[in-house]
Amino acid sequence: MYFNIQRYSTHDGDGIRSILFLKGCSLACSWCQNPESRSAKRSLLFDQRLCVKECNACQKETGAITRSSQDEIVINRTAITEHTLDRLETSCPTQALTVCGEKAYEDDLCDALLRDKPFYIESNGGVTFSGGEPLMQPELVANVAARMHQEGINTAIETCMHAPWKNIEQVLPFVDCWLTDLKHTDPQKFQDWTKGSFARIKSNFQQLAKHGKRIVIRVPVVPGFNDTEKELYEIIDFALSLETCSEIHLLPYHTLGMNKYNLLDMPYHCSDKPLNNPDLLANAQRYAENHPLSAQKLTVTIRG
Amino acid sequence: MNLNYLAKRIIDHKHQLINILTPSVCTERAQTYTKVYQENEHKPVVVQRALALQEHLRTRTIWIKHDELIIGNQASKVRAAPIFPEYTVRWLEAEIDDLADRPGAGFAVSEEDKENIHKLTPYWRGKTVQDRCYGLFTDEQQELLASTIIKAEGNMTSGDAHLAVDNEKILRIGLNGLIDEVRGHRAKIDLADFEDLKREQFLKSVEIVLLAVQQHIVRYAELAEKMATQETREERSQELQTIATNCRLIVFNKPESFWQALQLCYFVQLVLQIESNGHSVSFGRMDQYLHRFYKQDVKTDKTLSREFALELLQSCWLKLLEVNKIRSGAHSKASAGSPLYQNVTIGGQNLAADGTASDAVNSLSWAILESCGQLRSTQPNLSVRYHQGLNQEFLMACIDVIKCGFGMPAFNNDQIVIPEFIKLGVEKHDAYNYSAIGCIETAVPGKWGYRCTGMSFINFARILLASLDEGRDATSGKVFLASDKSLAKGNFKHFDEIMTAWSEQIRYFTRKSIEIDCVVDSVLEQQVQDIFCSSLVDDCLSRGKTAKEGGAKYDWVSGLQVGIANLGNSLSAIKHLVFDQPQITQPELAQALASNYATSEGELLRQRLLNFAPKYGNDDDSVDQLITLAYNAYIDELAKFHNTRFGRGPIGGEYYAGTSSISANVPFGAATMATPDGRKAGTPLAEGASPSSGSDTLGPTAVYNSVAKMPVNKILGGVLLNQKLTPAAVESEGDMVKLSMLIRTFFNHHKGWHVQYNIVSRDTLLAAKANPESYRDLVVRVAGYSAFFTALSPDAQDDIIARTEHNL
Repeated sequence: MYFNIQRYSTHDGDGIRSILFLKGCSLACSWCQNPESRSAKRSLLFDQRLCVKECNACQKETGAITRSSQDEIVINRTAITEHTLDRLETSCPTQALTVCGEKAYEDDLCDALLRDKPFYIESNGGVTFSGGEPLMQPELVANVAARMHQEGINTAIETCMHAPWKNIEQVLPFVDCWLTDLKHTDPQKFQDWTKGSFARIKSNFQQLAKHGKRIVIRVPVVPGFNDTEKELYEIIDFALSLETCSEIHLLPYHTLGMNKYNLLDMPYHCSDKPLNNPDLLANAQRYAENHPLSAQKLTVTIRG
Repeated sequence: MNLNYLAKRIIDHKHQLINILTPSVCTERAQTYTKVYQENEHKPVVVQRALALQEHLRTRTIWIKHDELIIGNQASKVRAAPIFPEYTVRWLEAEIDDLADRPGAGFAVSEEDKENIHKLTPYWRGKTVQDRCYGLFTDEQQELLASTIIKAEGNMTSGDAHLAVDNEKILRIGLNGLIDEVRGHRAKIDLADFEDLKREQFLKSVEIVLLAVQQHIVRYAELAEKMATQETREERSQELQTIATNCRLIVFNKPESFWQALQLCYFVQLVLQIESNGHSVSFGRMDQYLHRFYKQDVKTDKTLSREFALELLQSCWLKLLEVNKIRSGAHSKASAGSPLYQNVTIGGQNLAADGTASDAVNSLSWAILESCGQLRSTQPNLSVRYHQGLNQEFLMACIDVIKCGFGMPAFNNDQIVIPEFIKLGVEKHDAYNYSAIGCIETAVPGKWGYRCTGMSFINFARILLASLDEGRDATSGKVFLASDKSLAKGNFKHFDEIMTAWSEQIRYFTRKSIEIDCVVDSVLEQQVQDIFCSSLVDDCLSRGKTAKEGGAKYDWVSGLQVGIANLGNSLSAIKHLVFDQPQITQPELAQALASNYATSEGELLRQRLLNFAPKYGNDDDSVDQLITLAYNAYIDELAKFHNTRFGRGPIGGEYYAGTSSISANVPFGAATMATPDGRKAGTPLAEGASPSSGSDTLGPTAVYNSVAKMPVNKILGGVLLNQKLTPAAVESEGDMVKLSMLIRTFFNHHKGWHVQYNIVSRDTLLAAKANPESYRDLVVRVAGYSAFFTALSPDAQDDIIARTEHNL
């Protein structure tokens, strides 16, 4: 299942790229700005601002959607079945109600991704797999990436590395560049904020590093989670322990996707203010670039 | 490049010009022309016109102001618009009292001006180009024009232009050289020959005009000398003396320095726009023909500093901004911001004698780019000719200038223009020397007749609506070509029948637009010969013909088709939602259109049309192919016709399609009822070949893929693509490099025709609309040209604000 192909992406890998966003994630990071990507199934988003009061198209499709006495749409999400979603896909004229997620057919995805091939070739760009967590659909990634390789197109993956090693192994031959999240190095804090296991990620990193692929470590710098020098330095130390990692991106926390939680009727627990701490990022950059243990040169980019 | 520097004199001059909010009109030309025409009614019109121009150049008010380095004024007051009564007095008489109040195109007319105009207009009634056109039009043609489905007002109320003359030649041989050439041709005239008698009238007129142009320059030399003696600042006095000396030299001889060469080009540009008020008078490839002077003065002899050379260029650009044109209220809406579209083209390729092409970027290309980037004005309209071998550093510099936000430079693509021109029959060395004209259209400077684009405008969206309703125009209720199918009756059996109905209607309107062009062209040919202009277009002198009589070496023209994306999106909505996966019945759609989506039910239906049918600009073949199919009906019909010069000398003499419809999408939209793409009545149509505002949701690569599917090689009048980027999209060096790759792919791979970028945030535009006084210098891309944002009418401002912003 996927939910978007974003073309002319210029900040997720080299050159001009298209990003295939796959649905479903193995973590539940509280700062996530793509909450619609978390479920491996389709998601229903509702934007009250676009809804027309006189319309009852969605209510005709299902009893799970009603209008309150204040004329507001109320969705009984537990009563929404796969069958209901099928009916809702084309019911809302204004697209106040949208179903996010489509079944992924490899041929269709390849056709769509190849539409911008001339731009990839001219700019040394390519295709990036993102999500959700793309490694939860290793067969799809491996097959599509292999097709891209046949076309001479560079491939990259954006991953949290929270997946069984065999999944990584399956896509490894077909993915050129690994844009890998490293959010924290303390297992407990990691568990508290993402509901995932750092041990698994650590082990995956260590194995991946042996394969000689380009690894770019990306660190979302999130208020209250890892926005201290100590925590960032530990992440950098870990990055330096991997012999094939020579790039690190520090991504300051932003809130551009916050409204999506409303559309999904999900609570938002993270800060409602973007990170505003340029000194912290500059210090981390300096620390990494002047690291005494640094055998290889580590380049640090703020906002990758 | 230092884009944040401007010399004080340039800042002051620009400030003076952009704060003239309602310029005045100048009646001097109209008065002189009227007097001379009256005194010479027995003479051929061409001679009347030569004598009128001669007298006007001899007597008109001239001035030198603003410490300018390049001199020459079009009108008696700064930025005043001269009146050209021989083209029309009709709208002038009707609108003169209200000119100050027109939104976005106001002019201040004094009581004295009004009196002068009212005195002279009676003489012209019935004699103007416009009146004589109406004397020739059939009733049907008049009704079509009254409906505004076809518009040719600009063509019959002003001069032709839309060309570049042979500046290279005048620099090479000087005015005396040109006069010698004319005399040579006259010497061969046999007055016993009928054709030669006619030729002689033209050639005689050219000689009168060229001598008048020389005397006109002498007047400026005298003025500069006089001012030099009175000037108290030593430095300025010396400048004025140099200006005078320069003028004295170029009166007769070819220029020797960069300053002289630029001044001579400006005098040519000026007189072209005194002789005729046709716009889009373009300079051609200025970086090529002025380079030898620039190189000699700046690089070799070091007699001119680069800084001062930039100041000279900027002084020239400000003189271009002073040139003004007054249009009727209706026509000015299609030309938002009162632009003159004086194009300067740089870059491209040069063809060596052995047939190899090389990158033509030189030190003057850089200087011109930098001078425009510093000045950030609407004039000149700067175009860069792109080709695969274009220096990457230069392309990045272009993006630096684009980042300044004033919409320039625009890019044209050698890789489509040159091969297609050669296929048409343009000689290879000429094809390599093409330049942009006005906005995005292209022609060979000094060898191509008028209006490579700029013939009549045709409203595709209204013609589609007529196709859906038995041929009835939704706006006027008139039926021009009846048919028996309508959505209201629900008697279209298949979608193919919609396409057939469209094809029948568009073929009819295409033929009518050519008929109208034919009338206008024949009147322009007989009544308003451009003598000076023709003297600088090959092969007018050797043929003894004006450009309009077939004097030009090449002569292809194009009209403008408006509402292309609306046409495609409407067809797509009908195909998908009425026929393929029926959700809406034909009568339901007819009803919704007729009511302008009035009820909440209508609004919900409109939302379906907007959201559930593919839209042009998203790389969706189903809609992109519909556009091509529909457009091809027009293109196919067009191929059956010629212009009035066909077979009379020029290579060509034919039509091709064109989309560079300036801001006509706004008034054309105002006259178009609701369309099946979900567009409401009265709102703007899509601009040029760009997607409808807000409908291209997949970013620039998808837009390029869609645009490239158009039959670009048949739309040689230009495929206009405007893209709006947020300032954040080009913030870093990396972003800029990626933008350069985007441009390269579009041109190298897709063979795109043209692209230009508006980089200004929505917030800035909203602020400028609210507080115009703080944003007088804000320049934005409108269509194939830029205009001062605060000088636009509110509806044109809204149209620009609404365009899709791509966050790269």
